[in-house]
Amino acid sequence: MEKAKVDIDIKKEWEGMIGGNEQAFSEIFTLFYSDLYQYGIKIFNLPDLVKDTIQDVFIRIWERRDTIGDVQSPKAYLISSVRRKLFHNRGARKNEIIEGVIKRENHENFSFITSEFIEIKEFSAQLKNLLATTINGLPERQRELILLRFYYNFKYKEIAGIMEINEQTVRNLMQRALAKLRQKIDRTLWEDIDNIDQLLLTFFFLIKKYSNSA
Amino acid sequence: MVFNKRFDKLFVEEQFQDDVLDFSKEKHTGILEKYSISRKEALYARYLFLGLIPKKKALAEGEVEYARQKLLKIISPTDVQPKVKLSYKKKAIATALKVAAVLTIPLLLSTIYFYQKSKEGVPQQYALGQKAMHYNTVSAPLGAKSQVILPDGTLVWLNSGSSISYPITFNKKIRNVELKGEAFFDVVKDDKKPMLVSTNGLKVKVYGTKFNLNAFGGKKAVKTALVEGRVSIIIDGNKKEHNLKPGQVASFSQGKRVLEIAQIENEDVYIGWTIGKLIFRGESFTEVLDKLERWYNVDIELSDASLANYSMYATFFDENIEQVLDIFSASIPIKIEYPKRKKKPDGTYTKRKIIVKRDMSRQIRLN
Repeated sequence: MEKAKVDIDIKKEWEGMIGGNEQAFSEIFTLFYSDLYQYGIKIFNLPDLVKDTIQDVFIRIWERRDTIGDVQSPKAYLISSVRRKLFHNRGARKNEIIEGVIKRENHENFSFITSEFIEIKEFSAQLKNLLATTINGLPERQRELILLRFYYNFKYKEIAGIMEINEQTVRNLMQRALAKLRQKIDRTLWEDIDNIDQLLLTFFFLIKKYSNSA
Repeated sequence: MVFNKRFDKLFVEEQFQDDVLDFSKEKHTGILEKYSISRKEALYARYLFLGLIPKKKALAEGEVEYARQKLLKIISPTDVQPKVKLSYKKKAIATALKVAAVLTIPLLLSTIYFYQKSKEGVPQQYALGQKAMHYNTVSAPLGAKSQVILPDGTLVWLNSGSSISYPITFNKKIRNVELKGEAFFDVVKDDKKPMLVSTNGLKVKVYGTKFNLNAFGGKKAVKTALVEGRVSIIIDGNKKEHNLKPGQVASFSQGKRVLEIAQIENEDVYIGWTIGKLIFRGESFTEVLDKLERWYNVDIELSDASLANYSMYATFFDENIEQVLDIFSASIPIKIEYPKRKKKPDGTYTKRKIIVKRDMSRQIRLN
């Protein structure tokens, strides 16, 4: 319910922006900046470059708003624009980076660190570590797919558009990624699930007891 | 249980992924039936997918707003008036709103006072060859940071306890600015009209670039860290321009009158403060306390001089002063006291004071 409402608002703002409304343009920017930044930084760990790229993308959109056709999902459209521009810029900036003008550690694209998963309190430390290493061991495209599917919640069709591959390839990549993951973490995850299950059962039981007595 | 091959196909299904991620008590049985899986299997799938969602990393407060303003300035340069924006932390805003009514009058008075002051106290170097001009002085109070947009569109981040003076309109040949304290500049490019930032003992000449200038305290070195573009340093009483390359930092100490140029190892050390990061890389404990005093607007008394020379490595983000000192006390033998604030005769309270002592119980006995 609530989600649908937000979607409509975004669409409305987007149309407003296409119509030349600066306020709507500014809203769209504020709404998506953080998401675009997170994504950009995963492709290319250079904050300034990512910020500049996002800015470039928005300027271009504003200047060419008359020629932008019907956009199904503004979020997918923006992610895909930033992605294309960043990959383009990565090529252009490579020399600069080799020369060490922008000094940053070598960063593998779409890699994750253990602390990025601490959200799930129920997971054991062992599982968290295993998850992070396994995800980082996946090929770059599979890691990107996981990010797009589970963090950004995109549909396979949208992901196909963003990654510029066909939908069947997306599904194949997903199957390979999940098979690999389960192969590595299966046992540890089952152990954790047993514990979580116990916990949940106790929890439900308590709630039931409480609501019955109340 | 063993790795279950049956799941291979099912797990790839979008609908299945969405369903188990949405697995709540009500939908529970429906999902189990729909996919003919056990409760535990559903939990397994759910936690597998949950495990693939990285944590959301929030951008620093103010960063989106900064980017937005910058963008709007580019798409419609005429719309944005030079303005001053104070970026306090959320808590501070809440408190500030409560006392806003009370503050209005003193604020007005102080504005008039500063206006008068800035009119009277036009620094000498500005007056050279210029007609009568109005100057703005903007300061960031202790415990807060300010963002200033200069008349040419240059963005300046002022660190706590710093101030900047600039003419209301720049003259035709040069953009003169005076800085006290520390600021990060994102200078609008103009090859014909360089910017000259004057500070403690030196000037920085800029055409268009991003750099951080730290000129806090008389004795300590003035540090210019260049992120992008090119700047040159001109030491007072000298004509030579010393060029800096991106990724370099120049330190000039008044006493020794030596300019040292070094490679920046970690950019965040110099510019992290603009996004609310407080970073220490080998600073002495006294320097650390100096910085904390400005950052949190408190007075910190170090009761044992032998503590002064510990060098500190730490990065803080959003922690309050108690948390910061707690973290330090884990690595060096200190204990912290927070005396109650005293009420002054006029009803106001004294500035918050903190005392840092040596923790004798943690003394290492050498023999």
